[in-house]
Amino acid sequence: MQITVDAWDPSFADNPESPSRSDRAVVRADIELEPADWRPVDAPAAGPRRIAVVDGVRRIDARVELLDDTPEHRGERWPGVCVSWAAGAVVCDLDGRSSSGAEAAVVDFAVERGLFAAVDPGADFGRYPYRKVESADPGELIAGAQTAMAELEAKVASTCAADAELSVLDGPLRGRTRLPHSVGYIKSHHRSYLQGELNAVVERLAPGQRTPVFHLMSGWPRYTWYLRLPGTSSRGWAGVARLEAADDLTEEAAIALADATAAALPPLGSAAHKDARAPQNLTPIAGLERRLKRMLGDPRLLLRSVRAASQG
Amino acid sequence: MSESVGRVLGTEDATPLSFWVGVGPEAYAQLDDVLTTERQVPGVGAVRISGVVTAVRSRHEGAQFDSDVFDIAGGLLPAQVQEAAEVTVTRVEPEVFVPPRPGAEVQRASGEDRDRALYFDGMARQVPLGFSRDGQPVFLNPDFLDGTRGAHVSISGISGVATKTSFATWLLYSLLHSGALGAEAANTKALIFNVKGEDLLLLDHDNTKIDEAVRDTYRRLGMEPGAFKSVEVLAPPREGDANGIPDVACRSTGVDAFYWTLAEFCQLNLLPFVFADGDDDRQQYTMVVHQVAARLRKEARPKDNGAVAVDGRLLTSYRDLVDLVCERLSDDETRTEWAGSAIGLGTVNAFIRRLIASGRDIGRLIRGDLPPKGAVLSSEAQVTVVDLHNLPDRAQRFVVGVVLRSEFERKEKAGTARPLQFVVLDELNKYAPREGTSPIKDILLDIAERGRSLGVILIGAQQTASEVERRIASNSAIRVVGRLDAAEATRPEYGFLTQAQRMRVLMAKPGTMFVAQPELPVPLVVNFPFPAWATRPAEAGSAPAATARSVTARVDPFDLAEDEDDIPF
Repeated sequence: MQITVDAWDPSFADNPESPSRSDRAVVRADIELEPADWRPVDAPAAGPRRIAVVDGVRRIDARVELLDDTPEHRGERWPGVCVSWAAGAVVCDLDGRSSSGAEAAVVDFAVERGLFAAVDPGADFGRYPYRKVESADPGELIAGAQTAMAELEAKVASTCAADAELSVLDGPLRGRTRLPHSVGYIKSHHRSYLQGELNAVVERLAPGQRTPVFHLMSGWPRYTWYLRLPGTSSRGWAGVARLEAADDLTEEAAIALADATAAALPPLGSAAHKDARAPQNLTPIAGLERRLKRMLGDPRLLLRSVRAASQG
Repeated sequence: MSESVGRVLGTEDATPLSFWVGVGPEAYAQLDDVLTTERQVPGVGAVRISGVVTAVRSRHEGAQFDSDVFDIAGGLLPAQVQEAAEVTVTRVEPEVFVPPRPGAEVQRASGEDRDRALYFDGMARQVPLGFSRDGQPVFLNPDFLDGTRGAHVSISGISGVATKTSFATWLLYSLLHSGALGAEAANTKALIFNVKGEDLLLLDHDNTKIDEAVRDTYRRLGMEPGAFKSVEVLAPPREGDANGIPDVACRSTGVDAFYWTLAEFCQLNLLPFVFADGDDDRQQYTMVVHQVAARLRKEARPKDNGAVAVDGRLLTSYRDLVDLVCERLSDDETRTEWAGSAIGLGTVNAFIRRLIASGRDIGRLIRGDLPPKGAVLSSEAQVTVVDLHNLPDRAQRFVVGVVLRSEFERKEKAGTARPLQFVVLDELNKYAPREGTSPIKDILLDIAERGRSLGVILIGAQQTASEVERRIASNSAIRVVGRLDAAEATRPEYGFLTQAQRMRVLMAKPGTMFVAQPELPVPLVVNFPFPAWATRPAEAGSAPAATARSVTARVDPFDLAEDEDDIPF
């Protein structure tokens, strides 16, 4: 099989958005407060002191084109992507159980790579083992990589979650609902799940306040709530993050988790001058992402190795 | 097995002359540690690269902003503390100058590896210098001290905290007692000029203030702690004392007075040393000085007790001599005889002014009322301390100049370099300044340039090496630096120090010296032990028995007769 490596920088045309599902959100708002009573909820005075934050990063190292030269498929071209992804966990120990005082330590991390394509190139791609994707659509290839990263995140999260009082997993909680004390953390809002008056409560949140917990059935069932992090402005949706908790929790447990996040996360919010995605991109996540990106390795070096492998 | 310290960094350039080491999480590296690493070179085999740590740093990796440190310490931001050490290479073996490979394991050198890294393995003889920061002994190659391959020591540092004279005496002690000189040590002589306080007058008294720990450091360096065994102190006679009692407060035994008789003064041509100031040399009257000196040599007839008769006049003191010379120079008839022809009256008067002024300073050193002593330096004691601290500047220059000249001439006549004669002289920038010339500077230059072959080794100390005659500094094989002034440390004279060491000398503690020796490309930092001999009267133990001899048996009762043939019965 003949393999061509795209000469362009692979990061162009990288579309991280997975196809949005357009089914209508089913919201049950009476979990914590009756919809008529909805108001911003203040954070409790004390929250968890040992917080695990799990995040992953992903990078497309090379785009390749596989040219099938077997007699029955001669001339068929298949796109593929070489992707590196990493996941890690930071445990923020605010009280300092360790000897050196308060410490945020990367307790676990893993780096994986793969070549996502619909057909097996049959050649050894060095660091990139072949992973089969059903469709040859470029979006599906990326989605396959995203899934692989989510799996790795779940694996990393499972090793550290038991140790922490609260685990914050970056992104939706889908598929990772079995971890104790864990919440999904969503930084950006593509859709608004609440309607009318309830939505206005979100805009009225003061920094550190959250909305009451509500139940969301959109794609898959989960508890969710909005939380405003302290930042430059407290108007509109600035600084608002959405959190998710597993559907199989009791309502009380979900509310307790919501309280825990309202107490724990505002101090972790990043500062606008240090992070373009402040304050939602939490300080430990930003540090972890920098660390993980470094562990992905030098992209130019990896691209070179891919080129070398494709010619060999 | 050597202890692993870390690995060669790949984020900083590794070169055959210096490289950075990432220090492992469970290890540490401090300044002056000796580290070693190895790499395989095709066709050559293993090349071992060793060096000394000259810089260490630690930083937060993962922090982007200065304020991140608070987030990291507060447990919000994950970051890693990483230490790194810069190694300046001292030795590559075999000499294939290749850089170490990033990622190569770096070990702390110990035992033979350390000796090899610091060239101690190639030193057939070793003079202990003290301990490095890691507590291991540091040695000096005496080949570069005794004239075999080099000679002379230059010690720089600001006064008070740099402990220059302590180091100089320690170096002498180590040289004489470590066995590095072998049997020769017994005959090796040292001449020490004591210019400040009475610090060096008690070299032969045990220090009672040192404890067992200090004594143990001496034993670990392979020598017994103690005072110098054979010391003679020479001091100027007391001002106004007719008997020539030495002017020393802190000791009463083992002290002798030094002076020159008028006869010696005239015969040995000592007058130029009265005008040994650099300032004097620029004046016209140097001509007069030499004329008068020549005249004195010709005219003076020695009399009893060192007195001289000039033109039938008996002179018994320096003042008499001054008066006579002034008289002759003032008299129109004799002036041309004494000052030479075509000498302006102004020049002669300038000379007279200074000659009269010198009477106050030098009067007690030039005697016509005491028996001649022969050579000022007795050849019996191993260490001779010449005490200058009571003398005014002009007299100090006179003594240093005359003593150095007679020593140098003695060695010159002996024609053999052995036994060695060490000369310890502080304030070299005063005696051999960079600018100007003087009779003393000429002698010191002679010592610096020819002393190596004649066996006269100069251990010079100065506050500022930049102000000492360049040829003296450049002839010193061994350069030692204690604490320096910040402006002084940046001068090119200290180019042998590494960049980090130039910073470190600003805060070097007493007892810490940076020693550069020719074999090693990096100066070694040495902590030398506290003196085991007394440096002030409060520390002094009892005087050694040998010095009591000076009181009772200075003159051998059986040695009264001048010549042995003349037996009276």
